[in-house]
Amino acid sequence: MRTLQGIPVGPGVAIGPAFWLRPAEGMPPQRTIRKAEVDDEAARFRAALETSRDELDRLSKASGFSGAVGSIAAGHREFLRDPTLLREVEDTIRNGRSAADYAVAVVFRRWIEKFRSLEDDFFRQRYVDLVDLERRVMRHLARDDRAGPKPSPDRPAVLLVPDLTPGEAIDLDRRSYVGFATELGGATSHTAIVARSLNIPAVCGLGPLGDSVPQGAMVIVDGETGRLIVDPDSRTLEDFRRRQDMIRRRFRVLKRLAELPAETPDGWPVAVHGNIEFPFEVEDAVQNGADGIGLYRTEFLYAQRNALPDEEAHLQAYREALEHLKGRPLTIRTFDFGADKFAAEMGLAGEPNPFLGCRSIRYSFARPELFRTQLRAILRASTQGRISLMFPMISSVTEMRRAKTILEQVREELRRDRVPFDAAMPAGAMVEIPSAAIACDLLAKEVDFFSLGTNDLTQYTLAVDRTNDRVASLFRPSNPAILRLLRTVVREGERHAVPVSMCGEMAAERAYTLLLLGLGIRSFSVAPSAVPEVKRVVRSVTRRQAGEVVQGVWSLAAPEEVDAYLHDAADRLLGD
Amino acid sequence: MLGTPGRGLSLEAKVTVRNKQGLHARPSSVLAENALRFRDTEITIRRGDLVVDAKSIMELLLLEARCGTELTVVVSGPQAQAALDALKALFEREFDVKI
Repeated sequence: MRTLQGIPVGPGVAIGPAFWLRPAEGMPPQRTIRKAEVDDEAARFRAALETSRDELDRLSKASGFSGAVGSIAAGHREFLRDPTLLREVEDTIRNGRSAADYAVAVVFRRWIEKFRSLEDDFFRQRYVDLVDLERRVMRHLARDDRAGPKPSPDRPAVLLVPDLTPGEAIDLDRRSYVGFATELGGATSHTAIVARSLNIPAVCGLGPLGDSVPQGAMVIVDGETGRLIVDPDSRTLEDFRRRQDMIRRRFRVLKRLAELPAETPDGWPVAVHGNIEFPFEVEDAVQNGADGIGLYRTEFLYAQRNALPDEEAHLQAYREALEHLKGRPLTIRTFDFGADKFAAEMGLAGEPNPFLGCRSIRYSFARPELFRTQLRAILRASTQGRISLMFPMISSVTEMRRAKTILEQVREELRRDRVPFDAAMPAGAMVEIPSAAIACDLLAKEVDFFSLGTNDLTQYTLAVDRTNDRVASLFRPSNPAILRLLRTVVREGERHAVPVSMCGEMAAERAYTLLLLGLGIRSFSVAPSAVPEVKRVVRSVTRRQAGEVVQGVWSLAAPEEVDAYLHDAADRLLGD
Repeated sequence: MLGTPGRGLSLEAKVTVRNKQGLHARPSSVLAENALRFRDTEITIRRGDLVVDAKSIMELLLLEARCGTELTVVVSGPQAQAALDALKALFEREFDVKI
């Protein structure tokens, strides 16, 4: 039994035989063919191309031609019709007397290099599509299937892969794979994002596995701690089977809650929304009982295609989200690029202090064309549902005013072009920088709503990077200073009739949900999977009980004391 | 323009990329698809020294043509005039990619 540590990216536990999907990374050997074989090899190439196109066709049809899968599949299919590509491969086979797989590799790699040497990042990123396509065609060219029988719904497996490209992710049959693990990928890497979007137990960034996990070996993916356990002994296996059962049971119980309204026993209605990165996650959120989407992190539009979205791509994503929401509200946060999100891809590498650098709304101001494209698409989508617009990382009224001025310019542009939009679409600010929280009485006059982002608010207020092991224990949203900031924002919101919601992860921990309820927050937005749990808390405590819990918190000076007090209160009021 | 006997005319025209997104994957695929309709007509697009086949999406992407880029369409073959008109119109219609 061996245990490997990676990064947890998908929830739950998966147990099954390992299945390596290892795309041929290196060049296939150059194999010269006889003249008589030339026609056969060319036909073999054309057949592989045909199969690849059919496969993409099916994928794009199955997706209803929409969403990430639909647009990737449809785009890739077009590439495979490129006459230049066909001609060059056939030329290499015929004139170079090369085997089809070698010819495909040579031609694709030449094109990949061409794209990688382009100056414009937008066009350069298309090389990713070619890498994907080469793998797809090569897979259909393979003569023998050394990998053994493919996993099927009767014989599901755990997928192991160096990294997962968007093209491979869309191929993944979720019934045949119970979980997966990758060698590459940090927490916010492309691979991790794709992994998370599949919503199955997954671990990323295990590092090179070499031969340490043989094909077919029994493995456990622990999506909660980020571990991959190879050849577990019988006791471990039993432990994890039990945990799997427990997770399933808990899930079923919470699922029942999904249909009940989030309301305290004394009749105080609360809104519980979901946070999403991709439009298709709306379905998950709604199924879990979310009343809407409180935070759509649009910067992940970049991850879907490894390119910045154009107006159409924005619009398509927003429409897709609205469609799944069926009239429920959607809060779209404008791009939050920089710091830990796609900094290098946005040309922000090498900032000495990225979390205090050109990130988020600052980046949007620095790249007005990107910002305006996004605002235009949001406004256009606003006629088709209930959209609220949210600006991240607002530190003062100046930024809020500037964002609103640009929004007004875009509105003017749409009026001129006679494009309809919802003129009453609310525009609010994230309160995640201490300055915004401290002076929220001033900011309140500029916004339609506040949304508290507790991760950044905690990090900036306490000067703690929670990903840094040496100081992570100082990262406590229960710090009395944070509680006082939250109180200020709630009070000022009430005074100025500005609704205050909470979209930080803090809201999903039951002791904190209790605290926030007591503070008077009536709108939460959490990960879709956490929606039922928040509902459970709301349905278990009266407004008065929660208020009393909060009364007791103000006299506590140390964060540890606050935590102990809140956990006690949660245990007392909520049981297990 | 000089005509090549038996091969039809060789014509060219200047066009400007007008759509906001520039000549990225979708517009390129629309352009290539339309160019492919003129089977016996050679259609190339020039940007400075770079000349690419208009029937190839991959080659079109190599132009790195953002909004505002000026390009030259060069056609020769039996349907030269029709092809040139069709492509010019396509640039003007912003490749029918709706905004």
